[in-house]
Amino acid sequence: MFSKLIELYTRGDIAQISSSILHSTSWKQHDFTAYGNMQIEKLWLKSLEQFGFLTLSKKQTVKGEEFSALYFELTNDETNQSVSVSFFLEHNDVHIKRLHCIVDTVRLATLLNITPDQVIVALPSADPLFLSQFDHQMHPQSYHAMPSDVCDLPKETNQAIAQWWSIWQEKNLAGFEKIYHADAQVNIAGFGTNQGYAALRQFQLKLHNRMNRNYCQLEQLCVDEKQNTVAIQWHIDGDYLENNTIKRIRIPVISVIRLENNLIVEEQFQVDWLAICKGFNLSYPFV
Amino acid sequence: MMSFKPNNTITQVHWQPLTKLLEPSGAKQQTLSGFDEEFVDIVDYIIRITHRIWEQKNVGLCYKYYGDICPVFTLGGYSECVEQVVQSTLKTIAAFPDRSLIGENVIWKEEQDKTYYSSHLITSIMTNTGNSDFGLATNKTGRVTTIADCVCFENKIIKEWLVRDNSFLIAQLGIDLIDAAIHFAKLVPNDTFNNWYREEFDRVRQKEHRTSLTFTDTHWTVDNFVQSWAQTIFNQKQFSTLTHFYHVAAAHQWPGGRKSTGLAQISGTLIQWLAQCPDAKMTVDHIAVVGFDEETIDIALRWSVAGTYTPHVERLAALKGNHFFVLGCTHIRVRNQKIIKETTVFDEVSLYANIIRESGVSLPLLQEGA
Repeated sequence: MFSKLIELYTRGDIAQISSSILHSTSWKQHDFTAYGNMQIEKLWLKSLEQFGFLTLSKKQTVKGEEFSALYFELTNDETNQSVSVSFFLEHNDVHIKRLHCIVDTVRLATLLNITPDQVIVALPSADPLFLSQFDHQMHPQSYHAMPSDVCDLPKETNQAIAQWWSIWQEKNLAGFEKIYHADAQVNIAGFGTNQGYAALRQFQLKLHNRMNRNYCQLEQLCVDEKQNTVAIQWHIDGDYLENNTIKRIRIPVISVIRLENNLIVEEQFQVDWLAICKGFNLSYPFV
Repeated sequence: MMSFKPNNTITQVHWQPLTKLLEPSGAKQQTLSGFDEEFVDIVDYIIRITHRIWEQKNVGLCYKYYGDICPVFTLGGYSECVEQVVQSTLKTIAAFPDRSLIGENVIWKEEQDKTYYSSHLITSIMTNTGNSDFGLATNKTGRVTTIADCVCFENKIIKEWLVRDNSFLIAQLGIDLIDAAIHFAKLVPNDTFNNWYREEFDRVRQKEHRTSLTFTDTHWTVDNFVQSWAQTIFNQKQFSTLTHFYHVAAAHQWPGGRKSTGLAQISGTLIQWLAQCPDAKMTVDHIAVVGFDEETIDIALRWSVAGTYTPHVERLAALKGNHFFVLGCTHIRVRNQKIIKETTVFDEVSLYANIIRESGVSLPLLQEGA
């Protein structure tokens, strides 16, 4: 499945990936959910026009059972500019049922040498979400979803990923120094790659402070025990503050993590910032 | 402990490519007395006739697959005969000519009266190139979820309850929900619809809602679980009990683009929705259950909610106190006695249209300064 996805973008091999698409497959990209061949193919063609036929310069895979994930970067050899794309998919090794693709559209703008606003115009209209207000405290009738609630993880992996999740869900910032390797490679969509966790911690603080009543919710998680990689599909809901107005927004995230000795040595924090700007009518930059 | 033993031999849609669904190779799995020999089971029947009528545009096949008298209940109107089914199908295809009907799931039940009950969850993609009940053509493409609950007997659908998430569709087409409801309110329903609407409202209002309905882990049955879900959450509004019914990362889709994951968001969705009808009562009117895999079952519910409308937006303030009635269908996937996925469908446009019509109030459209 991974090779079919890579071949789609690097060679334009639509026939091969089409063989894995069901009539009922959904493909979410730029926060727009496409169903059926007509809509999904249109997304592929637009992506190929924007970043197709470039060189595969980086790849990280998470081969789970029911769910798998793929992260790759495509680079223009002439300009050395690249774009990163993440996939989180439900599959049965033959067909894809649901796929969530997140493109780092801020990086895409740089690759295409156009402005973020020009990218926003070219994106499809996002699904019109109706986000209800809710009480994110559990009082404590229940508890917030933990990684072990959505996926069976090896014990030590579970401990590491539970700590990683507590950084986001419980804003347990002290967790950074416990679970990140000092030289961890951390890529934050729109903000580039950094060595160590300091930039991610700073980014997280800015993000939380920009959104009142924000709440992190796990959706799905998959693990690849052979490669010690984990991918997490999750989102952040919150009240976004802009020009004295409050908008309820949702930020979908795919995090792809590689562990060594139970420490995070590599992480891709993938968000489509420009799709969020378009979907919720926000101005860029977001944070 | 699950009380249900799944039948693994009946067609399951989830992982099947369309080509296999349209040409089933297995042996006949159900008696299907009076049905055409080509159909191997009731799921096959539903999937293939839907494809033939809608995607292949053989509208006239309605004459073959619908009873001459076939009551079709929707929140927007009532039709009774196959001629009306043919006409409304043709009208919809004309307004949305590329409409696809993607079968997501069929949950079924063999009833004691020898009929088959099917609940068909459908995702449609369609471009609004023609004028429709929503107004002038928008030339935009939208996605909509539909659930069609059908009673099937001897190769024909003889009764149907049809719900469509029209508020999500019009949001994609750029049409305002209240504007659409004002347009819909101008359509005059027939007497049968009015009688059905009134009788259903009164029936649901009779529901005894204070009785505690519970289930235990060791005596878990689908019926107990579902009735308890309706009574505890919708009738008694005990939202902290969501933890008894939903997995902590359950995916929850409700009309109008309400997408939630997990207990906090689901609780918010239900509280915000029920707040517009704080005395709401719910009845579960039909339950069907099939196996999904060894650990998971799929349940289809048809339900009704009735109460008093308490407007949640200023624009509808004049409608306070009118009847609030919903015909809804829900598909839930249950594992380890908890809902892990829910898709609920009802027509919010018709819901508000019925309230507007009943009130007799003339509401302005957005372009008229609302």
